Amino acid sequence: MHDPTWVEAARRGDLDAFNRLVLAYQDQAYRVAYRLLGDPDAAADATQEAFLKAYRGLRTFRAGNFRAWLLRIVTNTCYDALRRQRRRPSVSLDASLEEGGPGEAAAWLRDPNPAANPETYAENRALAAALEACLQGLPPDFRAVAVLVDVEGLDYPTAAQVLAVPVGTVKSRLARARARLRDCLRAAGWEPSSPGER
Amino acid sequence: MKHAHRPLSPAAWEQLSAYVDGALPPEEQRAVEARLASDPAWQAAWAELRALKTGLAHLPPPRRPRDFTLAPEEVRPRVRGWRWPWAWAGLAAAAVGLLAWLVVGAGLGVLGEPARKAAAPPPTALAVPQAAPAARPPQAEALEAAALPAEDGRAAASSPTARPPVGPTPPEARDARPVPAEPFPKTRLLWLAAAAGGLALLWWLQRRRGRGG
Repeated sequence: MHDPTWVEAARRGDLDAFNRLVLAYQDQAYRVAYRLLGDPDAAADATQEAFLKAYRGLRTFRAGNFRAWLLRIVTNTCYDALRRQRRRPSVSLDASLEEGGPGEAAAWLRDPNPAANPETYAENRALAAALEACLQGLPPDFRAVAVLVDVEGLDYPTAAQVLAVPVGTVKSRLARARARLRDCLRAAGWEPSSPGER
Repeated sequence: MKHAHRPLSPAAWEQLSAYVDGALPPEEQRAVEARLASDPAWQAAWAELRALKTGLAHLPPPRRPRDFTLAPEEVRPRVRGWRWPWAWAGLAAAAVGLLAWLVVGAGLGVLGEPARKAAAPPPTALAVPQAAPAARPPQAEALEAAALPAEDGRAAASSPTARPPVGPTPPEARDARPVPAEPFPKTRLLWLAAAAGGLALLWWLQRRRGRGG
């Protein structure tokens, strides 16, 4: 996705080239930060801080997956923010799912005509809210791997690179995260199953 | 829908989880598929994993509040440029000042010590006290007079014209006088500790400023 020449130019101190990389990756960086921190303001701060760190640390980037390198900085910055957050009350993600929140309804949740099928619409929104809440209830290590693989769609090796752990650790953490999410949804009254889909 | 099937073992759940992601080697994948075809518990778990994966992949994406592009003033060097040389110069000046102060202080203390040692009579002088005054240099007398013990000081202070006694002290009185305790080494250690602490504080402040700037 990224142009290696931008990385090369940015490493030489070309801020415009670096800002092209920012534009290319800022959506994903913000999404990851938002899912890890559960708060839009904290996520924006962490994303900005991560890009600044990335710019200053570009010399340490060797050839390879720039996105994984960048997301590693983002997740580390979020871990730092989470450590600081423990001393302060956190803001729930539920607000994002309220009407007018920062999120935009996903295709699988969005009923083309909510007025025609209000029950399904409301149910889907409630399910999304439950999933978000369960995701936030995971320990940070489990949440990170679920966000990277399930929400962001990274493969195991890239997630392992981002989290600086072996691929086997990604595999086991993800399985445990999914088991916890399943239990959490069940406790909230949802039955995560999709019969007929295979 | 109720989950009436027996739960999978953690190892089986992990294998199935990786299968859903297409992350199993071919032979393991075939084994899982064979199990899925015959075991309702595996089928139910597979459906759960698929639903979770689908649900998470389609969560509403958050709306990015702004662009995160960097402005030139945001990326100007924090610890390089003109500020560091001045910071180091200040630190070096403070260090030199402290060292000079210590050296001068220590020098004064060291000067006093040999003079006092030279002024003290040799052990044999106790046996032959008469020989002692002749061996004493006049400077030693003056130094010793300035460092008189408390009894002499009190006596001198009691007089309205408090002046240090002039003239040689009788040898008997001098030999009976207790040798004053040496407070200097302890004091010097305290000064050294204070100086080291000060330097460490300066270094930390500079480092903190460098990070924050």
